[in-house]
Amino acid sequence: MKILRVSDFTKFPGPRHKKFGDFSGEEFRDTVLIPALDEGEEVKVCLDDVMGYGSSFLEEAFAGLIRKNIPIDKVRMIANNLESKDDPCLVSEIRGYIEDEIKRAKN
Amino acid sequence: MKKIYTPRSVQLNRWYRRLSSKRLRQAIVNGGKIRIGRKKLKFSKKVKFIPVIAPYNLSLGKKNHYECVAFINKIQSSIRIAANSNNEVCICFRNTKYISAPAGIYLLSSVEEYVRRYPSVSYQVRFPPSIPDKHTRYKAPVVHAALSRIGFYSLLSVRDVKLKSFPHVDTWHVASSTIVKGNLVGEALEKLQNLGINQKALYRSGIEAMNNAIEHAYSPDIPNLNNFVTKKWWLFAGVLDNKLIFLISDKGHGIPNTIPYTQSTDLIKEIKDKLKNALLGETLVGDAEAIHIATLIKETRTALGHRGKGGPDLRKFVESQKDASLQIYSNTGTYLYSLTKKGKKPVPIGYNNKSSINGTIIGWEVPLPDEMLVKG
Repeated sequence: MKILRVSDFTKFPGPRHKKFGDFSGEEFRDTVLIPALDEGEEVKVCLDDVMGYGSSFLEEAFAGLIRKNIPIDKVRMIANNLESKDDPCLVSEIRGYIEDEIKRAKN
Repeated sequence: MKKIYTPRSVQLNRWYRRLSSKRLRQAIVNGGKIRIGRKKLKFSKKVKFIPVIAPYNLSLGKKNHYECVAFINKIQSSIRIAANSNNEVCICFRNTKYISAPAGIYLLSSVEEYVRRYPSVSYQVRFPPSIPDKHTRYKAPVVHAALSRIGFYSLLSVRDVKLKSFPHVDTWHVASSTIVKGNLVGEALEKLQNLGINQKALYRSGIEAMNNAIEHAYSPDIPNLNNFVTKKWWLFAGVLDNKLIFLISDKGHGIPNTIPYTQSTDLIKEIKDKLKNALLGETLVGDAEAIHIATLIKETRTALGHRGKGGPDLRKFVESQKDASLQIYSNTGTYLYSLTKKGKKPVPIGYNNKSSINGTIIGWEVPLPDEMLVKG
């Protein structure tokens, strides 16, 4: 299993989109998450050791995978392999964003 | 009108008097040597200045809001007038004995907008007086130190007088940018890490406020008569009056103007109806109501359903930190949010002021325990 640490990407997660600032959710999704998923291995994301997250970053990084046409089973695999010891609520929050986006995509 | 004739001898005498005084002044500069070139003998016309007098209490509180906004508006109109004439703007703080953090950041952001718009204007500042310190009882130029620290003097290119350091002012962190910079929020919070606050929750609230400022506050989709010169956010973090204060400000459209463009009318109506049914204290109206709605929005219009979920993030810090409160000033509205001490019941308070701040200031405040008292 491949372990991705957000802290290796940045200590200060930023905005939703690249055009609004550095270390955005979009950048994390496109440069870290999607290439890791493309390798075909199972992926685990560790959310600890950063300053904190805005909901825009989390929504774009994880629920944005659905909008980027990543298969739902792969996105759910990530949702099931999230780890956050610093703030366990983050895991359920991200899962909520993903499920909302899946519902929206189906409609 | 008849021109008064001055005899040639009188004219010459006057000219020599002016010349000798100028030579003397120059001689002092040159270390006693009288040496002066022809060009320096020209006597320039005196530049007039437009005075703008700051109020006693620079604050955005209910009582002082109108006076504070009127002062900023006067600075802006004076800059406009000075740009079209050979005049300077003179901002006088001689009467100012108190400045609040939101008013300081509002002053800085509003004046910066006009300084960038009219770069040819020169400024003079009459510095604020020293006032007795709460803790030491000695007189200290606290307002002057505050204006210096937030960068107000350097913005106006006014020479600052060096002061002794004030511990509580020196911890202040001021930053601004045109893009979202998480590292600046992080650096500000790292400076305040010994104060026992929930840094992650405050980072979340702060970064989301910054994101909103860049993503929505200056949106070109919203009609606006003034062209934005500085599409920026300003950040303030520090301890003032033994409270931790963290502010994010912008000079954009304001929340009441952006909400109808970022959210569906059905959703706004649905929230308004829910608020009427729930007994949440007084009913808010106008801009204050719009701000309150913005903090509650979790869902947005179908096409962009994933966006605009940052509202509850603004309240996140208040809900996770004991005694913390949220203040939002946007256009004419003021909105305050805190939790009751016993239960975790939210207490939103809001009202509308007479005048608009033309932008938004979002701030969080936490009273610090006595053992963390920072003496000035």
